[in-house]
Amino acid sequence: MVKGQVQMTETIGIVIVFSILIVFALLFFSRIQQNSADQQRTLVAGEKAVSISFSALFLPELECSKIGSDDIKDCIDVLKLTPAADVINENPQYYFKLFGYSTISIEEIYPVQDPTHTWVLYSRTRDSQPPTEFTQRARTPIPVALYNPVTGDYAFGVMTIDAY
Amino acid sequence: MGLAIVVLLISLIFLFVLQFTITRAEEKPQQMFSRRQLAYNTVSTLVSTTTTYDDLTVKDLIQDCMDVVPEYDFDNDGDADSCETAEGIISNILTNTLKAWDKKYEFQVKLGPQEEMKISNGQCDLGSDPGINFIPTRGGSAQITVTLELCE
Repeated sequence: MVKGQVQMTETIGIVIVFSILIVFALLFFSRIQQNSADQQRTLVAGEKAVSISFSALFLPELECSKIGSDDIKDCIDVLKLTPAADVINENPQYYFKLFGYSTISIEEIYPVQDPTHTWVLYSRTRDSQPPTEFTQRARTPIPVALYNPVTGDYAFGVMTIDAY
Repeated sequence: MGLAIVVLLISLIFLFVLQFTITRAEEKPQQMFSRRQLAYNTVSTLVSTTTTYDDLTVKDLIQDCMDVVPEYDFDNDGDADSCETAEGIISNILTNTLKAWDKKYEFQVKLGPQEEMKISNGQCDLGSDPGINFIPTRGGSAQITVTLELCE
């Protein structure tokens, strides 16, 4: 009788430990699944960001148009930035096909780095709300030359593409 | 017997967790492409940037720095300072971009095989992708190589 009770207790103990292990295993796997789903989403958004960056870099609305400037690649004409942003705002459907859910901004890093030298060209999020620091995104920064045709100077800028 | 099964299960789970923790995720082609593009764009844009020093470009400053007799003296102290000026500007730009984005890098300027300038943020232990730009010297006798290695 006593031996039977001991065996029963041992069996119950094993079942409890086994259940705990299964619960831990399930939690672990669900977390891995969640992580891999997030990684996949970020990866897809990253691929989209790279493709958007090429569309944006070679936009005739932004490209440098200086005779003999063929050797300056990835160059943006700063005088075209504001008019281009206006054109993009006026034709949302056309540019949505090009850029999708993303934000494209350009910031001057050198010689001047301040908010007056930052331009937001395009912005569209999935929930139509302005992006916050918690909005999930894949960010692709691309250094670009910012050409000023009046002075003939090239500033160092960064085009940032946030794909949502 | 029961205890043996429990120990076996715990060991298996432990090994499984270890495998997930230690195994490094394989790099996707898109990540590699982005890094190469970033390295190339950074160097090419950097070299063509116009500085606040007599409207000279970074390329002009590097060329003067690598010359046998450098001539630019921006602080008028009688000594040429194109090397310090170029290094300061490059360092400033790299700090505000790559370093701010937590990227490790090694930037080098070589005259022929000789290393003349080096700016780095960490070391590339796991390999790197380079962005390279060639600048001819003023005399045209040698080649200046500007390299930015972006670490994996």
